[in-house]
Amino acid sequence: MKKLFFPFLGLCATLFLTQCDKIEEPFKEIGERKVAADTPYFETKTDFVQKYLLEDFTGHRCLNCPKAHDIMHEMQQQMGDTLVCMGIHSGENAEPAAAPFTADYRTEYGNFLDHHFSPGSYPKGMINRKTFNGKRLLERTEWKADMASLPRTAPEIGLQIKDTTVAGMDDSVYVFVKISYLQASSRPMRLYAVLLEDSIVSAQKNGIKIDTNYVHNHLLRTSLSPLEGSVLHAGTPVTQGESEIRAYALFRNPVWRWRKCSIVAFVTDAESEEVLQAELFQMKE
Amino acid sequence: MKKPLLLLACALCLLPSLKAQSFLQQGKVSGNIQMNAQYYIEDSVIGAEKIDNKVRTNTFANIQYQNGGFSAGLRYEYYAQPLIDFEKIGYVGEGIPYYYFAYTQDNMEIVLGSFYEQFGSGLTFRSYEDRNLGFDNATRGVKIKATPYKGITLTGVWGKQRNFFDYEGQVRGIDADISLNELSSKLGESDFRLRFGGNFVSKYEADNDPVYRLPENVGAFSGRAGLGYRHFNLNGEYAYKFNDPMALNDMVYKAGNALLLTASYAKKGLGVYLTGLRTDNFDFRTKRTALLNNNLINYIPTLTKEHTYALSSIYAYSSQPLGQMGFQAEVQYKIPKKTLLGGKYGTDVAVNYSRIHGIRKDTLASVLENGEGMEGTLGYTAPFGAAGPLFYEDFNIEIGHKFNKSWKLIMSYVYLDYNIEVIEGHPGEPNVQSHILIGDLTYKINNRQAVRMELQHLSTAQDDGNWAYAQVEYTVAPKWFVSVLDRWNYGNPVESKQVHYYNISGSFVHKASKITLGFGKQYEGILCVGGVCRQVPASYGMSLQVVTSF
Repeated sequence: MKKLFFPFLGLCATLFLTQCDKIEEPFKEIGERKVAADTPYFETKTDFVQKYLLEDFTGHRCLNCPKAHDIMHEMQQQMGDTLVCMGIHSGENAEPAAAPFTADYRTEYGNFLDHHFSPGSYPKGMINRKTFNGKRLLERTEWKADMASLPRTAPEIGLQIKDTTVAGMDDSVYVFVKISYLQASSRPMRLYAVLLEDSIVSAQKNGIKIDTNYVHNHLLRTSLSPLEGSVLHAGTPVTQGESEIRAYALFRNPVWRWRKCSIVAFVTDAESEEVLQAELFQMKE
Repeated sequence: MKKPLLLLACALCLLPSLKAQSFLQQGKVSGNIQMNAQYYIEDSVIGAEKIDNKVRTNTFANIQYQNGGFSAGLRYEYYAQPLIDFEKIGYVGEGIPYYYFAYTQDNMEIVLGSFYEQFGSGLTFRSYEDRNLGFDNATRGVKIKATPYKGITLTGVWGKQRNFFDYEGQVRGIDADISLNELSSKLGESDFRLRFGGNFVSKYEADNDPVYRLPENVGAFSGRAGLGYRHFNLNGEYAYKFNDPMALNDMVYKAGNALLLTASYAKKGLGVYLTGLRTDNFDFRTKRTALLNNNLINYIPTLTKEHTYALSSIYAYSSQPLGQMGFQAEVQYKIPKKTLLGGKYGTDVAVNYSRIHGIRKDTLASVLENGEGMEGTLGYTAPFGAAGPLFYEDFNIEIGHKFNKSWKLIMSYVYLDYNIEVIEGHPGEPNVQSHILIGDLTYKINNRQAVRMELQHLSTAQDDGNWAYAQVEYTVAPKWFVSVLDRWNYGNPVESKQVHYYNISGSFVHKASKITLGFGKQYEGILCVGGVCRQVPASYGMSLQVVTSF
């Protein structure tokens, strides 16, 4: 037994010490081997329409938020799919509390936005993160008029979204966003991608009442992109007709009902933070 | 889950029946059964949810068979409708998640099936369970432990790790432990004690990610040394982990490391203990997407005193393996008998202080330049001695004195500074600074009967405000025990939350069995054991616990 000790030790050490992979930069494979192979086909498209992003800072314990939701719903009725809505549950009004307000819809990205834009009292909204009359955070009563005041110009950016899965990785989904530059531009841009979920039934304060079967729509679930967004075209000028594809991995939380989920992607001007284009992609089971 | 029983049956069938009968009769069977059940009542004031299935149970049974060098065992668990706090962490299922066959002969032990093991202080590998916490990362596979020379122990493990009712991932590791005192007869007789050890652990997880180039084999190693001289002991362990991007570390490729140092001096009546710990990006799991306490491979020892009294354990520290540094110092002294302060029986004094900070993380210039955050980069550098924000501070003093055969008093003062933003993930909330006073008085009526009373008070201007606590226990040894307690959040800034969390319980012991019945309210908070924590939801109702062993 003693004679075997050192050969045994050497064998084990060799066996185990080789069980380690050291990865050198670049760590991401975007544009390289795997993504290139897995990237879905995007048809060439030129007839993009300008879409608008309405971000609503809300919370289930906010008394007036349902009124804002009603206005948002009316705007969607009028504008159809050219209005993309996102409900950001953040701040004190979104904190879980005694039943029936035990749900916690706050997210890391929602908290980040709350901290970054500081909406203060609720509800507050942002339309394309633009400034109207010197303010970016708008009262619900201002939303319709401010939206109407936006000039209807040709879009600068076009967005297409697709998803794909990998066999054996059922808990993950890969989301690809194609960014088409429809105009030459030198402005720095960032891409954001988030997951929303519709038709979540849980309690909501509504004035002096509590509606325990309130339906929460376009509720922000998570961010696929970094909180600060992904830098596009490496910060260098782009020419008309250029495009690039960004890929994001999303770990599926079993709580999310996939057929009620959608991906929203939007591009901002990195300096002014104004949204240049937005797109929504409905997920399938 | 029927596999283990089938294997056991087959193994026994293969033996000639008479031999099998004889073999079984020579062995010894032991085990225990425990059932924790609760009837839930909705209480909107404390946040106790309405639960459709109002009666729930966590039940398990351990059975072991031992015959000479052979042993086998299994644990059946029935958590199909578990207690609500277990359901919330995903501990739901039923079956035999733990079974093993082991054989020990001479200097070799082989285990097939599930096992628990720890290398060194657990920085690189610790497979263990804590029933209260709902934590069990048993390894299922093979373990071989050999002692080729007296004083040298080699341990090899290879298997999958338990995650609730599944076994996932692939872990393998080897550990060597060398005791020079056992190896050398000369050293064995001296007052010096010297011990060394080292290990290497690696996990495998396939890379199917289209975005990142991920290491499929992630390795970690550690080296340790222990030195002792008479009453003095000094131990240290340093661990290093190669690139391991995962959801919890924001897919950062930076290598991780951890350093643990402990020093102690102990003799009759006096003990001095000092511990220092620093961890940087040292969360080690079998799955990159794992969260909470799931799929943990390693264990970061806690640096803080584990408070046992109700109010001093509200703000317990949860270990932060991604970045923390701190120390703990404790002095235990017994004031001798027949002195002014010691009295007839002596007085026990324990003073403890711990302080833990985050580590300073300097974001790499390249990360700042690309402006996309740390994901998929080397992330940051962390200068060794540079501290980040305060995570936790605990100063406490405990004095215990027995006045005579009947009366005994323990008094404690605890000061805590608790970073609720980091430890509980409440963004923007200020640190909670609390002062806690505890009195624990025992009156022994006679040899069989005793009454114990606890009075506690926590004062803080943050979080839920002040608390008061009172408890009375009456024991009639060895069979009966009754307890009444009330925990009152009278200082909660929200008036409707100034709730009494009362509880009445009683237990009865008969031979090797114990039955405990309780009724009351449970405060929503966190439960921590050894720095590993989980959320405990508010609940209200009746509980029943039955424990028996054989």
